[in-house]
Amino acid sequence: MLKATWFVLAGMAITFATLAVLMLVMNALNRWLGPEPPAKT
Amino acid sequence: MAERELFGILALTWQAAVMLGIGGLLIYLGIAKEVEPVLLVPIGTGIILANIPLGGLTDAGGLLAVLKKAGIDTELFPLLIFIGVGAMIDFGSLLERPYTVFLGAAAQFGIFGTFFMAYLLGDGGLRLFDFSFTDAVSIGIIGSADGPTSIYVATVLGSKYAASIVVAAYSYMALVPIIQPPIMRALTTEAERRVAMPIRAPKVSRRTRVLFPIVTILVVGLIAPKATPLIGTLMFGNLLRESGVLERLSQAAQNEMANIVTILLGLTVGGMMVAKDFLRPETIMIYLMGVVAFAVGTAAGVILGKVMYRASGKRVNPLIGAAGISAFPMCARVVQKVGLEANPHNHLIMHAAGANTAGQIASVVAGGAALALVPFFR
Repeated sequence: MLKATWFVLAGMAITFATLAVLMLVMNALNRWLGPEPPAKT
Repeated sequence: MAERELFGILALTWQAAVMLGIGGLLIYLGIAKEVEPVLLVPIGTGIILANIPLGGLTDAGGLLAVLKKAGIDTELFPLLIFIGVGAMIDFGSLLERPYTVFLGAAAQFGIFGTFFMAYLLGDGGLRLFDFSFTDAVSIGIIGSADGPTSIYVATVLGSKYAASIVVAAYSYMALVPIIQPPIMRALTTEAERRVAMPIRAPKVSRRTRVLFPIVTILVVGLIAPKATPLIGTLMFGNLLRESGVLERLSQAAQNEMANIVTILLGLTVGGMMVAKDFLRPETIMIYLMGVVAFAVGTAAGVILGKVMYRASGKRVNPLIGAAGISAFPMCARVVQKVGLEANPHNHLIMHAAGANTAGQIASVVAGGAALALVPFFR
């Protein structure tokens, strides 16, 4: 069962690591490409 | 002998009769009870067609055998479905609240926790059931709450229980409103459930929405390459939706293509449920493990929600963690309903939708991670 434990830990680690990078990318996109200000009328 | 070949009823075994009953039950649930009719009616019909003695649909060259070879063995059907799913999903609520991505990640413990239990019951320890390492991984994938990912992973791993796993995954998706609320209430206090969260969040630009599917393919593909077929098709569908210039293709992916492939996929999955493969103690255990998978995923999401509740100074409602499993949009609706019971002025739907769409991406990543890791461990 030791290998099963390592499998679980490795799987969760890859999932969290990938999504952590994705969160950083989303934050960067939001910061650099924020919504355009509304057009003046 | 000639009479047996002429009249199917003379060749009917009790096992085939049970399968005909199961097919009829799924059709009944789909039509009379409106439980996931889009899936259960084709699956139920496929079961009936496959188990009529001497019908020949699952023999070499038969319709169901041809569909299986063309769409399941090649992994084509789940990937085509994912293009349609991607075109249907609005990732805006996730982009507006990037932190919810971690709730999607936490809920994937449903996959790995269930794998652990299945392996313990099988070859990993107790040997009560015929579950190999790859079978256990395939069973765990039910916890992704994601039909196409379940089909894809179980097929790639060559699990002999692929059909049961897929039917369990789709069946439990319909039961999310029954499985989740008791777990959510048991793990949270009344005060935690009452926490109000702001409805509005800073809007994201169109450029962000267009770039998001492309960078997601790059990020997920480069870290978990085995997830590339799933994330690639999901995000291609989303790019069709968000590009703003491909409305016709987006609508075709959401409607015509998704509908046609759903019909073919449902019939084929039903056709895989022939009596000799399906009527085994392992199948019943897979169904029980399916409940465990959804429950563990829900609990893991809520527990991370509670961590966020404390870390944020009681500003995050832990209920939104339950939406981290990717049954979209049911989980988000369940969170909204349970939240409103505790506080009639609290609308958690947008936060839950963020976690829910994060769960869609996270389940694909977890499936890809599992596929990549299996060769190192089995």
